[in-house]
Amino acid sequence: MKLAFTGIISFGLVMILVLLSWSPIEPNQEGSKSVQRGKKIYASNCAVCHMANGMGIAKVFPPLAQSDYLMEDISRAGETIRNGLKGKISVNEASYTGMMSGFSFSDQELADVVNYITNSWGNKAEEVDATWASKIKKN
Amino acid sequence: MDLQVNGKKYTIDIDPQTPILWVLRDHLKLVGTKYGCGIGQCGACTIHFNGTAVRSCSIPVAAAANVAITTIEGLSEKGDHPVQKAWVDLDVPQCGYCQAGQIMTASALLSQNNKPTEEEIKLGMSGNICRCSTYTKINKAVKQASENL
Repeated sequence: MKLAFTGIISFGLVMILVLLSWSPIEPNQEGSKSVQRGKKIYASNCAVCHMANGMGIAKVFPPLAQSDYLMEDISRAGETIRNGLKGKISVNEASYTGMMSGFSFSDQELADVVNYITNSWGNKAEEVDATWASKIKKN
Repeated sequence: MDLQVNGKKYTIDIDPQTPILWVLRDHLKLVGTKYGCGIGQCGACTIHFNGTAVRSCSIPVAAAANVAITTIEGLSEKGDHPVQKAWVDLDVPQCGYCQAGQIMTASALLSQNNKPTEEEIKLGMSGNICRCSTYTKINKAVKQASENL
């Protein structure tokens, strides 16, 4: 009887610990300070074209949300943000021929905004840091 | 091509690469939307594209087929959208050049989030530049409008 009671108490304690450690927020969405800083940088600099929801505007500004072009090469994303992009690209089987200007972000800002766009709207990638960004040179 | 602006249909003969801003101003004579930087960085030319705030200087009119465009002239019938009322109430503008764009961004923001926090307002409005720097009043007006929706 005593053994069963102790078992129930132990099970209850384990369950409480499990519930306390569970969080409805995905670590990649809100857990990283870099992603949170990147969200602000994105709102001020990128959302104008790529939209706050990352969906872009059909035929004009390519989507970042679940974008094959973005997610297949994160270094290319960093280079694009730093140096801009011109010419035809294909994103999720649609062509875009616009022009994007480069941004004068610090290494940390570049890493933050890359972390935001690659970990939002269903995108998921390993986060980068300022050292990674420092290897992306301004042309 | 056919356009739908402020609920009205227009048919215009135009180079499809023309930015919507110039179609609105020069062809449809809707001059409430302002030219600022011309590169989508200042927000003065903001309009709604199916309810989403966009920079009309940077979007070719070809992208506007089957899209409901709203300009400052079409935001409300009598200039009485809650954002416009808050703008007047708090005497927000100084030179006023950016205000059409500010109001269009604010109204789109509130249509997606009708109870934004101060931080969300600051963030949502951060792409619209005001060279008179009336940001405190702008943000206050957006907050007030959100309480009167």
